[in-house]
Amino acid sequence: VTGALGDLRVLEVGDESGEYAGRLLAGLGADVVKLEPPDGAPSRRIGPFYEDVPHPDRSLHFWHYNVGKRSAVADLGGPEGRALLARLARRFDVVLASGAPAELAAHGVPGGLTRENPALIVVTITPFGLDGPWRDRPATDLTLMALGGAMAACGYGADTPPLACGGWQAYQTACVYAVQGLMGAVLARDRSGRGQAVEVSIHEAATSITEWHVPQYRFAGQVSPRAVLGLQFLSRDGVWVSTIVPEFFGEHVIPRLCEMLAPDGLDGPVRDAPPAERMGRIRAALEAYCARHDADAIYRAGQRQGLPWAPIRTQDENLDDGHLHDRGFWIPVRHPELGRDFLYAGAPFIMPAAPWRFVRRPPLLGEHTAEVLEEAESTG
Amino acid sequence: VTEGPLAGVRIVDLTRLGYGAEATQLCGAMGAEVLRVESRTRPDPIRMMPPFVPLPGEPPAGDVGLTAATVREKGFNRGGIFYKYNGGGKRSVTLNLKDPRGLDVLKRLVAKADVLTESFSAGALARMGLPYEELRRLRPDIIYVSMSGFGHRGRDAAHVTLGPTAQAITGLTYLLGLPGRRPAGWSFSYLDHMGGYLGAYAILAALHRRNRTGEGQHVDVSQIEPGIPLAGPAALDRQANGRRYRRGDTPPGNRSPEPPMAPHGAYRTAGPDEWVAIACRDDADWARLRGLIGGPAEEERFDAVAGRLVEEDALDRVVEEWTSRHERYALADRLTAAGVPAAPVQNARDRVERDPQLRARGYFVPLRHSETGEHPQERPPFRLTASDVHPGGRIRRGPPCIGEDTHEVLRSVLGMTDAEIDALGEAGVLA
Repeated sequence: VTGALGDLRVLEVGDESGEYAGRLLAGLGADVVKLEPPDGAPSRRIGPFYEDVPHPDRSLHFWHYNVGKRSAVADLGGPEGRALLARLARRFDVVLASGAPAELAAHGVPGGLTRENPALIVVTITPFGLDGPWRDRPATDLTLMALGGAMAACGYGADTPPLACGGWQAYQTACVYAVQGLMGAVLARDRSGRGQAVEVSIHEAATSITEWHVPQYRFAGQVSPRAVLGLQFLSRDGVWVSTIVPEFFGEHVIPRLCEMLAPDGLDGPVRDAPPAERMGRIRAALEAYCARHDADAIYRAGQRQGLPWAPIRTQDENLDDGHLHDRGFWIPVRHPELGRDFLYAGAPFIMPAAPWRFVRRPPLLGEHTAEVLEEAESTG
Repeated sequence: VTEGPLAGVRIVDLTRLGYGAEATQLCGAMGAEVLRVESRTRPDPIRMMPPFVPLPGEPPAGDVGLTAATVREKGFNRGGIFYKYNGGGKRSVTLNLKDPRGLDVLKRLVAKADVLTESFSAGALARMGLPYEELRRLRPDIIYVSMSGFGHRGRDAAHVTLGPTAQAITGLTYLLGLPGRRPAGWSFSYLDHMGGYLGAYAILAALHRRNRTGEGQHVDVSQIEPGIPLAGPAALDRQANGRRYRRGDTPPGNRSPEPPMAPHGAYRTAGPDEWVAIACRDDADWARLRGLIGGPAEEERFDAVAGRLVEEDALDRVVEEWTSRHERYALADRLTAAGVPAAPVQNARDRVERDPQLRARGYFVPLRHSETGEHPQERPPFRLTASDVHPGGRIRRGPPCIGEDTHEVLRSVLGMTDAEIDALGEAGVLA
């Protein structure tokens, strides 16, 4: 069984902002070749490292974002590099390029590539897109999260700074959009046989993720304050638990909550209390309830009542989650040099007719250079 | 106008709230015909949530709260958050699915569809009489995309989520905060968006596979699995090094111990609650920044990034003492001109009123809503050079009023006569 994208050959070039897109394509079966400079992609130098020993082939950050890809080394600087990229692009369906527009242009991306291969799809992921007054501004994930609006609304209140979530969420949002735009181009090509360019702006991607904030300003003239998300309480075993109470789920929500929290002082009349008093009583009872129980028990008790509660876990704690194992979410990938398997975070969805998988561990630097160049020559 | 990349694709869409609706909105923006099947008797709660959209000529409502009275008064077409998730030229068809005749109309629509999407609790659609086997009987190559909280398979499939639930489980809530303090978390539903985008990716990939093989399938999307990889390599670090992420020095706030960058944070500027984000990627960025700051920034202990990370509290004080004397936009202009990544921390007002890049690129596109008039809708952040992508979809319209397109869809898609449609309406089937 081949993956849903088993017919796509993807050439990935550029900086760390686009790597998650390549991973999403590789998981669905695309042959993703990562073209790296002779000293390796910058992400190979980002820790943590396997056994805490820094080495281009031991970066766990690199592993996470590049599992399933092949690696070919080439010096893309200068006219020879440009010519090589153009020659390679003839045998690929997709070029996935990320970085500053000036750097991409120096490699002939996006312009030059489609002339020799009209079916080629060229995706660019750049901080601000390929035009506009901020096009060439230097940017990082942090500055793009600042512009996008998420930071202004996240943190502990006005006396502490706006906060960004770790893990490069602006880049990853742009990557998720990039694979959508790319798949749009693939579906168009399924009909027309012709490729096209897909342009993704990380700034716009980060702007799109703030839910009600833009409507709230446009329709009510209000700016959402910076605040901690409500209704989190500390469990007996020291874990914060998210215990939101979505009354819009239906009339049953408050009675069920009263049933659960009666020993902690919440009882019948709460439903008819004025909203502020009602929420105050619910908060107090939830706090007392959580202090008496462990996080996992709170999570499951709430869910049994149809309430969307959850423990505030760290990512690695999900390695112990039975449900995720039932779904085959953690995928064992063999690292033969190290003589062991590692579990990688896997499919974002279960697609049974074309399952997500990682056919190879993250590539060693330049591991596939010879075969990739050979493949390029054989068709060109 | 060129056609959209999904021209000719019809999606029968039973999604509700944010996460599912986001997926089909994107498909609509790419040219799919999205038929949003909904109900007046069991309405999607997002249709009634504030902020309420003013009618033409009416002033903004302010925060009126969510009470039964406001819901009665405002009806189904004024809930402002609905507008965020239901662009893409979606069309609204109201059907009473408790009535067998309503369910029959839905089945006839499925027979004419390429994709069926829903975001009910796991198993709910099957209990309504439409398990995957039945969908496949109606349309052999149907692509059925279910978008539940924890997915349809697995021991906790009955668990339910909203964005905050999924963020808590995945590690994304924990990742946002200051070390030694409670998690701050996202104050909104990031995973309604990201879960929705992965749902769209599922639809698109399944369509491409159908083009190659002729086969449909049931794709089982959950809201948590799209979020876990976004929290980085912590699970690998645990396996490789035995290190756990829950510890006293995590999360690092805005700081970047890995990759090592400093300064790296949000700093106060001259206005009230106004901030600038600055990220020095390397010592060269820092050399440019300290040249502008001068004085205390020139101290030797700040020369190399290793030293700056050790002295980061002092470093941040030096930077903020300087930034607090400047206006945030002018400061970001100056810093970026010098080659240092910097940006004002923008809220929604800033994005709508000030951001020159969004304006120059036409990020907000005015679209007409049939009851409340014209409002700007956000454009998908990708552009295709040879295919049409538009926030109003192929019909160039804003979010639909409830049931706005029932008659037209039953006529044009199912070939029903006006008399047949009116009879169903009078029988309460189209409510």
